[in-house]
Amino acid sequence: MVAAACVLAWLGRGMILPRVARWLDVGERPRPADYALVLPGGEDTRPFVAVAMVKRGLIHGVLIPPTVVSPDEMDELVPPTHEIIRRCLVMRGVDPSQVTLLEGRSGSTWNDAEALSRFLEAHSDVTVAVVTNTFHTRRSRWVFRRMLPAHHRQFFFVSAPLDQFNAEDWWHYPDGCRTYLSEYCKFAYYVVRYGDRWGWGLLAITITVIWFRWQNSRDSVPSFRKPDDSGGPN
Amino acid sequence: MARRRRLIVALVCVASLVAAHRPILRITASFLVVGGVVEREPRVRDVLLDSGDLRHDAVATLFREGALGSVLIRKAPSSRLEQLGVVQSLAEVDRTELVKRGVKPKQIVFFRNRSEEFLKEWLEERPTSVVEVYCDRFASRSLRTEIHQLISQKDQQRLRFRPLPDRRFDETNWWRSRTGIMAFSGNVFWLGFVLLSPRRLPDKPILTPDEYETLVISNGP
Repeated sequence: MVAAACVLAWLGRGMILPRVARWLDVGERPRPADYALVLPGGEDTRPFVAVAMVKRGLIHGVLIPPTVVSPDEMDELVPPTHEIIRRCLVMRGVDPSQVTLLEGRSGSTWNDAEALSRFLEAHSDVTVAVVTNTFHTRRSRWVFRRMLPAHHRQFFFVSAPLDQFNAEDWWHYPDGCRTYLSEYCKFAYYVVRYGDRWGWGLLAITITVIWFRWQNSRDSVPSFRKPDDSGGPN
Repeated sequence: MARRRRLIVALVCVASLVAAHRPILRITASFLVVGGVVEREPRVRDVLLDSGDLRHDAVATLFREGALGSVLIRKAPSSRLEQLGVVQSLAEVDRTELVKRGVKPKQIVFFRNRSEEFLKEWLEERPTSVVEVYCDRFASRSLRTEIHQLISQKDQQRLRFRPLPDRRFDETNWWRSRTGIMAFSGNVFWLGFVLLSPRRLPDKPILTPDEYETLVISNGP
């Protein structure tokens, strides 16, 4: 049964794998907003989406969360990520006055959402287009909606496509495999780590009850015995 | 009775996993690492500088010992940020850092094709050359597997792998930090890919900033 499922999955991988990748992409088409928030990571793609939106007149400003320092940044081999994003925006024609560095230090998507949360407390009536890569939009949306339930109508997600692979061919590239499979792991981790604890508790109790009932029903099925083994009177 | 036994076995298994999680995680990560400290042989070595924390210092040590031949560095196709001049290419950063540490510019050799393809040619053309590959610790097995898939067994004898530890984590504590977990899982997926799918598609060209912005806007309203 398992082997048959594996064979079917292997034969149908051309149909299954693009869907697996597309499920992660909940990005919308670029549309008007007050700001674009460029999430760190993917500096070769995400800032260019914000630039394109500024040039098209869809947004008036760009927000960048400051990032924690990596070893290469510590050794000054590369500039900090937020600085790379800022330089890219300015070099592509965005006015420096349109770029706002948010408060805090971001090391994860959760931190990015916290930074936006602080910004929205001070600017309660603005709308924000959150720019991130295709595979990252579902997890980001989940995180931002949990962090900012009262503001969920004020932001939406725009997908930045990748050059090297996409949903249709990611499994042919090592970076594609790494990216999509890691993203599923991260999403699972976020759901467990930041998800509804009551919900998880309820699920654990339900599974335990079902398991015990299944065990009971299995043990109570009468087994075949020879008449001599019954132990009853002849 | 049987149900009770099953329950006890399950509990014992879970308790053992919890109690022994450290050695289990350490052994799992050790599987990703190959090579190690290379015993100094009398001959001079060439170095393929792939990746790794503090890699420039490691090469500089070899240079000071008088054991460094050439340093081989891949020049990957320019990213958009490099095209704009926002960041230097990694190859250029490596060159600058090595020269700062005393390595002579003429010892540095750039190449453009994939590392395994270049190494194959390099070893075939230089029958006495020994090459040390400097790389991320957790990436060493994937990289070695990828390189060995293309290089003859005879030439594999002249390759050494030097897995460089990250200063933030290693096999004994990678699960305690987010970066450690990401490095571990990413390299597990890479190794899986290398083992299951040895044929790689050629890299796609990188769009220029103008082309990329046009693509994004053409998807817009």
